[in-house]
Amino acid sequence: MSMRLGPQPGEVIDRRAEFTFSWNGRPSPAYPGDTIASALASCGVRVFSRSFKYHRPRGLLTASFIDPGCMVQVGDEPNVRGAHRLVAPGMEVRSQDAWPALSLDVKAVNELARRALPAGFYYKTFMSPSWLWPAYERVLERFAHGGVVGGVESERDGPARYDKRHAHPDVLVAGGGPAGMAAAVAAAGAGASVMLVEEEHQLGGHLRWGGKPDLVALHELRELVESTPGIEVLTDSVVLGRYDGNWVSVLQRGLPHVDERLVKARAKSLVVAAGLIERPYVFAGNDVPGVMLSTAVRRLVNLHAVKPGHRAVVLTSNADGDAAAEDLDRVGVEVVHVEDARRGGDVVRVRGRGQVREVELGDGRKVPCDLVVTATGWTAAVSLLTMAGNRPRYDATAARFRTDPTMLPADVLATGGVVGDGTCEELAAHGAATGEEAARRAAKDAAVGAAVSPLSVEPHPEIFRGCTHGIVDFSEDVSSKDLFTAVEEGYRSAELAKRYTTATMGPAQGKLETVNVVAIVAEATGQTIAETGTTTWRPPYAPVTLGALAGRPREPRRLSPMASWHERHGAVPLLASAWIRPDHYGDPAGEAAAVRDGVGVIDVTPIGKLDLRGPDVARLLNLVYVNKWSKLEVGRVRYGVMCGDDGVVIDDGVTGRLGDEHYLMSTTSSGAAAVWEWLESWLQTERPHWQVHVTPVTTAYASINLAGPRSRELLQRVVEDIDVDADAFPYMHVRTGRLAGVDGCVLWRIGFTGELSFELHVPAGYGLHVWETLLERGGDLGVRAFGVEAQRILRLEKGHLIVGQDTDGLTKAQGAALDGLVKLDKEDFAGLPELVWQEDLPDGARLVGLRTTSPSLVPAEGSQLLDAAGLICGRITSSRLSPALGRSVCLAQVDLSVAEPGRELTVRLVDGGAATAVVTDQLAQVDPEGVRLRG
Amino acid sequence: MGEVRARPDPQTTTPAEWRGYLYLRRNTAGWTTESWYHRMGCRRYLVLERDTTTNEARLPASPGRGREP
Amino acid sequence: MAETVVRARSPIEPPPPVVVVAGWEVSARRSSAELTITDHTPLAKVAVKATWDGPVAETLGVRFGHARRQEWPTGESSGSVLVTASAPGEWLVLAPPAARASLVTWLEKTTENADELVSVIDLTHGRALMRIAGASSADLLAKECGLDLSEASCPDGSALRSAVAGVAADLIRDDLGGIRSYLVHCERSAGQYLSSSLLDAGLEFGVEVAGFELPGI
Repeated sequence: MSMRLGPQPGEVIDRRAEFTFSWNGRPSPAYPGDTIASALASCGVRVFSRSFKYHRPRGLLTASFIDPGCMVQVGDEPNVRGAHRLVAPGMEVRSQDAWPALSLDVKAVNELARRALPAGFYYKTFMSPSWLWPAYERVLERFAHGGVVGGVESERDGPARYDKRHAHPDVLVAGGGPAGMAAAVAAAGAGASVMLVEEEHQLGGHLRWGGKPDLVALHELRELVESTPGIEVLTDSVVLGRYDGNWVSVLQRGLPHVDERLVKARAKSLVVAAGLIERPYVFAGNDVPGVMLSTAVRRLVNLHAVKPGHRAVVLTSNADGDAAAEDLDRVGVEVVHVEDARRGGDVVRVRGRGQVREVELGDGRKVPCDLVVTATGWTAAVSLLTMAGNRPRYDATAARFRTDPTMLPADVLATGGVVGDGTCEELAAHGAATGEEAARRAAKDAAVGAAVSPLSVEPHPEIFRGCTHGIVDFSEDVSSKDLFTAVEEGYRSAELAKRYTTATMGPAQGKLETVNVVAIVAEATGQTIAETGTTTWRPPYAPVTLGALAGRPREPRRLSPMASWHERHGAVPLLASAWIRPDHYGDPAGEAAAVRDGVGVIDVTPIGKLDLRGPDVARLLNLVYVNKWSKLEVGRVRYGVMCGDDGVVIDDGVTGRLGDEHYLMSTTSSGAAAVWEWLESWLQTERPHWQVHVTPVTTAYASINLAGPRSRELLQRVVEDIDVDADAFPYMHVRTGRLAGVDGCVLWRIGFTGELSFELHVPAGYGLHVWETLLERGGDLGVRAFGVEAQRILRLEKGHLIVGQDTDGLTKAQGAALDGLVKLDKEDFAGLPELVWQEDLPDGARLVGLRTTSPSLVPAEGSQLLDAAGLICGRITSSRLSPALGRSVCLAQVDLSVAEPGRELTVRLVDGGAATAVVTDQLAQVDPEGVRLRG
Repeated sequence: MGEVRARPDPQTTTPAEWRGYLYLRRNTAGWTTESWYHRMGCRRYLVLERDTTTNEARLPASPGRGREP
Repeated sequence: MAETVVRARSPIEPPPPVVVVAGWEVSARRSSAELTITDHTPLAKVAVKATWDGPVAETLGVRFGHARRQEWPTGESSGSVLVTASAPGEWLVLAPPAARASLVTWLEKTTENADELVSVIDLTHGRALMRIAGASSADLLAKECGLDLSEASCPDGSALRSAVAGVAADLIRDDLGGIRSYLVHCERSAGQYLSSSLLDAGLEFGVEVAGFELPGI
């Protein structure tokens, strides 16, 4: 039956454009401007969901954003606030948590078992026997879930779209009621840029469902907001939190191309105009569909032209409750009785299952009705102010927790219902004064402004719980009886009672419940409300999706100039930090063999490269490397290892001297950024008088390693003005010049792979050209591209360590078998004292080479090593099958006591089995003399 | 980057002193002197004083670790 | 081994049609959209390091946080260069591609006798550079960058550095003909990623890609 009323003066629906949507599979009519709840209510739907724990039928309570009775599934989106979300044509709406059907809920058997399921029952039941836990889980799962994620057909194409944005308003006003609107207008008028954020779909706050004068004032204020330049209005948006320095996050909905946008704002001044939230009354049956708050009634009637019921009983204790009764009367609802709590009236109990049938009044009379309206008080929405560090205090006269606006940080102000009461004019005047003050502070105007005269607060009777027990937290199904039980069991404070019962932990996060919880805990403990205090409001103010927090799913990716070539030639990508590197091109063993037998080229662009200039570079090198650098001549290259001040190896690389005061340092690719910072920290904080300039050129050069016995032949085909003969360009030297028509190239002769090799650094824009030229000109030499995996095999065969793979966060230089490199007679270098003391230590780990006695067995990296006594004495850090040797080659970190060549160790394999491995004579297992390198 | 601490002379330091420099922090509740690095910006290290209970920050009263040549 | 002129490539893939301008492969696209992004990587980019307030700073004539055009007699291709100072003691001089070699030489010569350590480093290949132009360019950037781009904080001629789309990038406000415009540059390897991120952010404002045209400054 239709509960839609005739046109109402303040209605937000558009009667010209009726459409349909579906509710649990059945078509339902709606108008633009209807929320899901108002559209359904207009058709007479009264039960929207079942409660979380006891599966009690629930109807509308507040008909607003935080209505706990109307969480629904829309398409593939669960937990939608049905009393806030606007309906759209064709929308598919389903109820949640009501298996198998909303009208018949099997889980309502819980209701009968309620005595056995008091607060905290899950701490006491379903404990033993523990082998039944999986079974308990399956049962509890069915009983305790919200909506459905995924798996539901959705007509929207693609995943929900999220987005982010930064904003820097001078003044951010949280709340678009009369005070908020006036504050925004005044602040903009004073020259500030303003962002006005309103949770609902239109500005106006409580004016929207008020009487004629309210609607006139609403219209005027809206006009002012629209016509005043400098105000950005965000409706259907909510301020999630306020952090240090007015860092404010806002969740914005209702944009055409994006579902949810997270606006990260840094506001110079924040004006909190979040208003008042009406409180439910706690009594038996207060959650039966048909019991609702006065604001719910006024919203339904005035905004959506929906009749909330036929026969109403109203419990009122303030002017808003009175106004609700008048509204009902005006639209033809039979207001059977008005109980005035200011004169001792009360409501004891509501009876009815699935629908209000009758209400028992304080004097014992039983009145049949289908709608019970309560207006028992207001809670100031002080969350943002609490987040700004202000603890609200209870004011017994007003029956409200209040903030003292003078106790806020200088960049936070408050206005409107959240700080006091008044007529629309008074609220707007206070808002305007506050907005002006906010603009002044934003402009850092040193002149002392006029103090904003405070709003008065109207007295209000303290009405929280009647004489029976009822629901306190509608989302979590916590009753006042549960709170009393909690207190009896020793949870005697608001914080403890909250945690024990989960009261205030639902989607409304306490906006409807906290004050009632505090009042009831106070009642149970015999303390006053002021003594009991309140719980702390923390961000987010409203639940927010992970999607909104994540924004666009994107991570930085770094590409080499040869990336397109790798992709075209079938490279399997390897993600290393943010770099995408070619792991191999389909045959890593073959690629490694090509290098040993002929020549290969590998893209090593991610290697860190730092340009160092200045008279003190050598001193810096001596400081950060463990070896000596003062005598490095121009044109020479040296290998170096860096340790932290704790002696732990942090990076290695080669550094070459290009000129008297010009060096080029290379680092590992993953260490590039860290080493740059490391050098800068020494130069800026410990040695600020040294003259060194450090410039990262990692990506200014495309780096290509040309390796193999025929690499020199190939190189000769591309160099133009550099003599690369063996005598002219010895091992560990550097040259600069022209390659393949490109000037400004740096070549060094080094050898990570253990073969004759050259590393070419080419200005990056020409990287692809040089790479392709090498491959083209080396065809007859059998040149082949090789990837990171082949390089790992090659270097492992040579026993060359990789920092971070063969060393860990505790490996000091000696542990990495680098003792020979460390020059302890240097005056100072990073890690010196620790390395001196490490020399004297009888134990510690050492890096050794290892091979398995069963040649084809290649143990997994990380496999544990056991000594003769079966105790763990080390682990394998690198492990591959060597194409050159036809057997496994490994590096391992082992205790000093077993680090002797020839020692046998047991490898504990991944599958639990065991194998034997032997410590090799040297780390290098291919060409240990290094003959090939120096050729 | 954490609390500012003075690096002992590596030639004369003892294990206890050196490891104190490496690992121990005073962790004051209140004003502390810290080193900060503007990684995404000017890439300068700077010394600030910060009140760890209120997050208020200020420049140090006396020259920090950036000693003049 | 005579070669035809070798082509340089930007890390940002140029949308077709592709042509060669000043030795660089660029897109030949033109756009009349209100908001455009153009790859300016071919520009010469020369870094200078010195003390932030010494003789070299004096010579370059641009303070930290600012960017300004200078007319220097750098050589045959002299003309305007844009001197930017996004960090104290660091300058990046932008010039048309053909002016690269002469600019480096001129800067080295001009600063060689300064009474302080000076480094002149050619970073033409080390940075990916884009220009965003249009009235809504600040709105586009506000989606990827947390800087306050208002007139008060970032007027025309400002040079800043911050995170843009999660990578460290320099941001220079350089309005063209009264139209709001920004130059954004990051280390080269993240160029394609940054470009894609900015295009994505600009979709709602109708952004289009335009191709590089000389002189570029």
